[in-house]
Amino acid sequence: MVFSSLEFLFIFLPVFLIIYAAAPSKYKNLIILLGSVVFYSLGVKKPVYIVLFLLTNMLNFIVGQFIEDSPKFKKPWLAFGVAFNFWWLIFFKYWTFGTENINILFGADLPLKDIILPIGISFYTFQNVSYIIDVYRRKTPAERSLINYGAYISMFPQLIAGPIVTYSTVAKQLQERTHNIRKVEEGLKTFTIGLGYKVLIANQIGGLWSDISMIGYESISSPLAWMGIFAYSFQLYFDFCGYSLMAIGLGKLMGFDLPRNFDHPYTSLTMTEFWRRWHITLGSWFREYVYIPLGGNRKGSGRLVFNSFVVWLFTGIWHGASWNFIIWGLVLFAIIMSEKFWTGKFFNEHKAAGHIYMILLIPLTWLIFSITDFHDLSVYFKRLLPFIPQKTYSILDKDYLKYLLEYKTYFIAGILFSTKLPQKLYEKYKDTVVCSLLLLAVFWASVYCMYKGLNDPFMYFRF
Amino acid sequence: MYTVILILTCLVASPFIFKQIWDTSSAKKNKADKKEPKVIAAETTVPESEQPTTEAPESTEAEEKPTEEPATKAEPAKSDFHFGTSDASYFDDALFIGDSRTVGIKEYGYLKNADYFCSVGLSAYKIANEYVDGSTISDKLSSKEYGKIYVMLGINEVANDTEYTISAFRSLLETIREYQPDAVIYLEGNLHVTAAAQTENITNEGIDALNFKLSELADDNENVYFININEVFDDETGSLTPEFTSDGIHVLGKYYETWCDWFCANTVIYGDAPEAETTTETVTDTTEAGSEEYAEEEQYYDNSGDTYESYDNYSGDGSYSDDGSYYGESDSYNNDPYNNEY
Repeated sequence: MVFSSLEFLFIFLPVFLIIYAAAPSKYKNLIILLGSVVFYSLGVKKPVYIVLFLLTNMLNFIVGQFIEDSPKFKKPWLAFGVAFNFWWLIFFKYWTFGTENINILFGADLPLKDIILPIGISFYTFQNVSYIIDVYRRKTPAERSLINYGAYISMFPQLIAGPIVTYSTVAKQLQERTHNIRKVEEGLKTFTIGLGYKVLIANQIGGLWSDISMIGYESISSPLAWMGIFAYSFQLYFDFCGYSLMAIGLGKLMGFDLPRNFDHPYTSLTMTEFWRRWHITLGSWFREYVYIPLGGNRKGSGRLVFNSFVVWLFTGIWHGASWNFIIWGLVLFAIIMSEKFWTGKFFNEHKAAGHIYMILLIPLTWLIFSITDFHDLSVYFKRLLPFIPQKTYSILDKDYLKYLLEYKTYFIAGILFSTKLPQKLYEKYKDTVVCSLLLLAVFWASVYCMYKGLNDPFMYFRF
Repeated sequence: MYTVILILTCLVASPFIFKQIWDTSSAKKNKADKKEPKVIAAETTVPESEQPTTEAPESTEAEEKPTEEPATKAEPAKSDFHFGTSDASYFDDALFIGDSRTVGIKEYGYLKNADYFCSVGLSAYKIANEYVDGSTISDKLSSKEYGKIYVMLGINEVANDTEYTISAFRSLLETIREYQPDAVIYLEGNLHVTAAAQTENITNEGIDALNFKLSELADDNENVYFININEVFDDETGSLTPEFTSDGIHVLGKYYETWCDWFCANTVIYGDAPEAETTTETVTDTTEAGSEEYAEEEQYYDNSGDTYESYDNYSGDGSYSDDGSYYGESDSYNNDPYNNEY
């Protein structure tokens, strides 16, 4: 079940909120846990995945206590916990990919299994692991209430697509948090903005990307090819950022302050900065639990390069089990290293150059991200660069004009809302009647689109 | 403030939204219930249809031509023609009417000399009142005298009752005849979707059933011929071949060339048929991709003939066309809860 569906907005959410509001404080976490399990069950393909999800969480809860209670054995317990968590992630997400490649490499004939990924596993695995590591490091005490721990991991706003909330950020709020009308108001507004991002911008401009796939990459003109990757970049951002905003808004309704996941990434001057602003909680997870334990930048530049390599390789693989994600991660690694040692200073000092650099480079990296098939990818790259000799097929004359006219509104909206201006205006005027009426219009426009069936499946669900 | 007005407006709107959710889910249920007998009917035909393919592979070439056999046999008045190859100038006085698939033919095919009346989401129900590039179908039909008119509609209609759809086609044919009494009309069978792209509402079975009814409609009318592109693009299961498409519903831009070749190779030519194979060769040579698939297509053809017969039986017992319960709940045909327009 996605947030941008009528069933969620008009059935699940109101029912849940009424029960939640009516419940006395000490049962509120229990209601979150139960509600989230219901939410998860509605979205999951196989019932056994619900069991897996619950057992995994329970096991991490127990491992956390063991680590704290028996300092002598805390290392083996941690190793066991990390291995257990990643085993399931590897099994579900990478098994097929691994066997395929072993078959190709060694000419083996291992059977390929068609494994369905349990929804949200990439996210809840990372949260569980962060918890046991934090307990091991004594950064946080172990949680002693199964209900609280269950509520933390399964909390439906962030369960299936992040933000990746570490236990230490919400530990206090799990014990005690305030509910008031200001938070509810704030939460509903944030939710509405996220819903608008998702339904009114991402889903709409995503139409151009599907149109281009429908036509086939061989048959698009170069201007259209460029428009296509810009459209895809907007779609990806407003989709994921919108979903994160909805999660944060829903968190507020329940009194939580969930961490921010996006901070205007498209206004960055360098790729390094971009990845500090894009999917922030994932970046900090890798920094906290991979990069720094490996030594970060404190062991010389050779080690820094290696550590960054590991982080970006994992970042690539985390996004999907396919070679294009690995290559995408390595391309990011190369760009970020070259910024570190050569270009970064220049772009930070010359802002205009930095913006142009990012505006061209970000969509190109998303292209590698989006197209899993290498043949298709190379065709698309050649279409972007028409001076490379290539086989051409019939192309609609002035196809870019046709699609520019069709999608211009969404391009303008996409550019506008990628800047910091709308947020500044929002911060200033958010308590005015005009703002409320505007948001109301956004909400109903989004509902209207869903009602008309113009809604798309959430892109990040592949992960 | 925002909370209060949001909740108030939600309360006002909720009955409508609940109705929508209810309609959607009950529509899904209805379709699911109905699927069962359909599946059984389709399965029973499989073993029979496999036989001719395996037994007589060498005879496939000879059988190439009878692609439109049901149409030709049924009507003695039409027996003095055959489908043969014409060059692209044949389409100088042609008009193509259709939905997004025809938009693809217009934009990515090479028959630029033809006229087109097509838009995304066009349907037989809407066509009488729809403006395309500022003109209605009547404007277009009265603008000049057409020698041939190609019609491919139906993918947007296939979720609805077949009889209702056919009656819309009937009135479209009447409109065409009113302005263009002498034109050859080609009713095109709708392109299949890939097996994966099938939904509760759009299935290849449904498309075949509609196509079959269209072929009957062609038989019943003077100078109307049924042609079916699916022989070119189908895989061995009778679905659109996945390699030819990315969305499962439209072929990729580069395959409209193959499609146009097929149009050229399947024009109505009056008089006796020459050697049947010649039509095949033209299509085969033009594109590599087309030729690869052509071999498969020849084999498939025997299946499709049998499938049609099974539909005939199926509509015979009445359960197929009696699709009323689904659309009966929504207010009008355009108010399809899925609202997918192609």
